[in-house]
Amino acid sequence: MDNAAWTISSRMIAGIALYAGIGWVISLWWGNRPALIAIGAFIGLGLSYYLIFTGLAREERARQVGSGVHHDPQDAETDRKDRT
Amino acid sequence: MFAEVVSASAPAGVSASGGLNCHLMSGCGFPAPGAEIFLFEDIFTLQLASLEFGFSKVTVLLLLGVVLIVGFFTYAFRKPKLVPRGAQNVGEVGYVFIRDGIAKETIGHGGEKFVPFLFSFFFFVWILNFFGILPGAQLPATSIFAIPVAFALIVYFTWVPLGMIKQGPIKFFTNMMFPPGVPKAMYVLLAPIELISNILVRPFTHAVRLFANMFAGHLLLATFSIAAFYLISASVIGILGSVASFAVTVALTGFEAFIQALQAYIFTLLAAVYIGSALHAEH
Repeated sequence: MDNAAWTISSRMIAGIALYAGIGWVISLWWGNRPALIAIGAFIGLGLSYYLIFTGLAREERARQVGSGVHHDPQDAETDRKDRT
Repeated sequence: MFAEVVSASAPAGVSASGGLNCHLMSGCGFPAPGAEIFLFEDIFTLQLASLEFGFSKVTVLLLLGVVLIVGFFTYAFRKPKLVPRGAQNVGEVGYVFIRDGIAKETIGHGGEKFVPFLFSFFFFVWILNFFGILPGAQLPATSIFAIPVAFALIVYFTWVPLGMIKQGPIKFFTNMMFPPGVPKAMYVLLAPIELISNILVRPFTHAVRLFANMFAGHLLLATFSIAAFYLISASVIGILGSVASFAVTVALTGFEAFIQALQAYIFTLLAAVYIGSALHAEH
């Protein structure tokens, strides 16, 4: 299940949009400091990278251990039923 | 000032018919296609009680896609044989491809149940994309944003309730928001990103990925075909340019045929990824 690879784009969009939005709200609150939007976007980008890399690393570990979804015994059972 | 802007956006000789009298040396600018090539008038309307249904080219293509898919697979499996031949063979290859290539591979255990869902999506999206290079149709129906949006919403309202049933209504969201292998303190910063990315951004990118590819492909094909036509004129550069544009149109048509199948595959694969994430929480 290569889930993490497919969530890269949505995680990046969500991270940047969320923290840029927070930066924008704070800039309105503190009185027009637009630099906060850029700072928020960078923080969001960094956090989404962090999420992406931990997700990919987790899947890589699961693949190396070989205890992924593909090897659960119930799957082997349905495979056997299909063949007969 | 305003008149200038209007004339700049609509050069002489350009009309809804595509500016057929506009050529290189006839003193009119290149009638570059814009978003207007995706707008269609209703061909006919259907009045049912107080509701009015307009049928444009897009609607007709959608209906044609449904008819073609249902017709082909009914024909293919009308008298199923143990050793498939002809149309049944094609249908079975398609089915096995979705079952083994997408459902089992991506969803894993429990994926079998979703094969019909994914199968329908793959072939429907593919045929709608294919209308982009089908002579006579020449419009990928999926390049109209409403259609990929509708498809993405169907997928969305499949996997979200499914996840809430399988994992529990609250647990589904908490499983999503708190991925394992992250220091506890980071959850304050990361959980909102995960929630927004899964609940809001996923259906959006799902629809946009298909729409943008088909929209851009159709626009490219239109630009080069119009260029091939526009450059026909009694000049060396015109003839050379026209031939080159025509060659690029042919090459792009082949490329689009590949992209259409690929985007249908990616759309289905993503649907399977989302359903898989609803069935099995990350551990």
